[in-house]
Amino acid sequence: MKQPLTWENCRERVAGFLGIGPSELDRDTHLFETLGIDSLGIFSLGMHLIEAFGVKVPLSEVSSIATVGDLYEAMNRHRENPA
Amino acid sequence: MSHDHATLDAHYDAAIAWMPPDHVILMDETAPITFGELQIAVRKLATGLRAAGAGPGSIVGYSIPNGLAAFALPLAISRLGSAFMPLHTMIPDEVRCGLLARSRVEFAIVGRESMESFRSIASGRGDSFRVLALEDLLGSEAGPLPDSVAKPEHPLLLCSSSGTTGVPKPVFLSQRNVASALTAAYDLSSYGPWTNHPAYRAMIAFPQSTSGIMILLGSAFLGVCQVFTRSLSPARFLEIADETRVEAFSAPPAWLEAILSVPVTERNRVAGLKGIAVGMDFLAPSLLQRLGERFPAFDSVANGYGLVETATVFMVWKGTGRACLEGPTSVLSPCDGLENEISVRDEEGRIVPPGEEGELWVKGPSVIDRYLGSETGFEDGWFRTGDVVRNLGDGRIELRGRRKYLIKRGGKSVSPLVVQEAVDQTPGVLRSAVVGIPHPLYGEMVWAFVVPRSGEQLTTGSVMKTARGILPTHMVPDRVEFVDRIPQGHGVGKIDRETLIARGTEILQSIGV
Repeated sequence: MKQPLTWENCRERVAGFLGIGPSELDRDTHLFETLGIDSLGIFSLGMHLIEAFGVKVPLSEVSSIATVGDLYEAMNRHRENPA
Repeated sequence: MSHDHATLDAHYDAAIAWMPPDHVILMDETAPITFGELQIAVRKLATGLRAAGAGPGSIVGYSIPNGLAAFALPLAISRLGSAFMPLHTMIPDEVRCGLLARSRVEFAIVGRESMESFRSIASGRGDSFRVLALEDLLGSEAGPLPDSVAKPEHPLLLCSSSGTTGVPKPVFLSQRNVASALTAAYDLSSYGPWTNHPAYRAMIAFPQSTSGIMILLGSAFLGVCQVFTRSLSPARFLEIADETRVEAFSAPPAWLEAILSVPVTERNRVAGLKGIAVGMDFLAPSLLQRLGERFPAFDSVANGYGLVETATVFMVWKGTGRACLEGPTSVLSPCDGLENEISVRDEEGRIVPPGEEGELWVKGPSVIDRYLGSETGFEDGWFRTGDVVRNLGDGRIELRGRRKYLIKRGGKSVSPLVVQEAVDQTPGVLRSAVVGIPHPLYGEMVWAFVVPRSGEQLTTGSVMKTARGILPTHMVPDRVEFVDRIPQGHGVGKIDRETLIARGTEILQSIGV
């Protein structure tokens, strides 16, 4: 059963993957610099989110994602592309 | 110009003898750094370190961002007859202090903003190393360059090998080993007719990795200008490469895959890119062909092969012309200018005839003397790489298979045992097994299969939190999968990796990635 894609759910899932509190994240939180995820780590996080929300972001767009907000917006743009 | 030098100092002196001080050898993104500025930084750091008490036999650790000082420090430390140990800044402070203390460094250089944290951790643990601020050292007077006291056999670079068994082992590369790596870097930097003109501009990913430092210094002493960035974003890498009009990249295959995933825009075409120097992993011809489609002028490749125990690169494949993008990329020859010997042997150590497969053995100036703490060196100086190759009979070999068990994620080796040790520290974990799951983007993903203690409600987050607190970024698991039991293979305590790999591959297919 997939979750509805809302900012709160997205934030909770990202925090759940990293083992931090959701309140430690906002839309501007930087995935590379602040959270210390490497470029491949973004794909690993993405895989975790695909399972939660059933939304798949094309590889070509993943590389332009820098913040948690970018990630949420990219998934929103692809709501119609179910995994 | 002879490139046959036995110490890092001799390479540096040779560069000083020919290179004009106004020659631009580095670019911090778009800001040029001349050879003269590098020399001044080396002299300031050497003066400051000597005043702090560093000298022959000292070990100096440092953990600072990419920048002029990060490339001047190895030269300054070598000049004092000391040895250096670079540590990535992304590793948590506690872990860095632990590694520095275990390595018995006398000095640890960090940015001023990290000093307090390092000092308090070190004093809390009773560590004896002195913490120095990089900014203070750079504030020293640029005294005269000390006379070299280095001998080829002196230890110079302390790093860690993932070991042929997957267990990390500390390794001291000697002056001779590092000097050989720079000679190999000269070879790796000369791979197309366009590289013969006095200077070309290249962009390097991961300049502070063990191999990155040596490639960067080697190519810079040849006159190549190496561009670097602090950002870890492939999109940013391409924009800087475009803006600085680089002609070449130095990067592992996984980084090149990440680059190919970035959509092409007006600001990241890098239309002048002619060559790519690759290393640290298998290079698939399909990757070269896709790079050829992305970069129309790309027609020269150098693929370096080596291990930490061989001071990184000691063999190379080079190709020029668009036809080279078809491969074969895994046919390797010993680097020019180095007197290494190779042989292909069977399990009993007998040399195999041409056409047959065996294990690659190597001996010579690139090869370490012994592992740190080990009483004995390698038998007759021959190091067994653990890699399976085919003997082509003409001094060349064809690489057939990587060492057992090590996970190759994004061009970096990950020891499953080290990751497992970190995962097992999560409260509530009964046991775990870590394996590499093949994936076209990663090479292999790091997956942790975890058995929770009975009654424990473990989450991915709790395992990740522990792992992120202990491990460097590239070793943190890409996925945590909870299981009831770890399948057992033959032998006591052996994990049935094949079953876990099959399970992981199945899950990847079901997710559709």
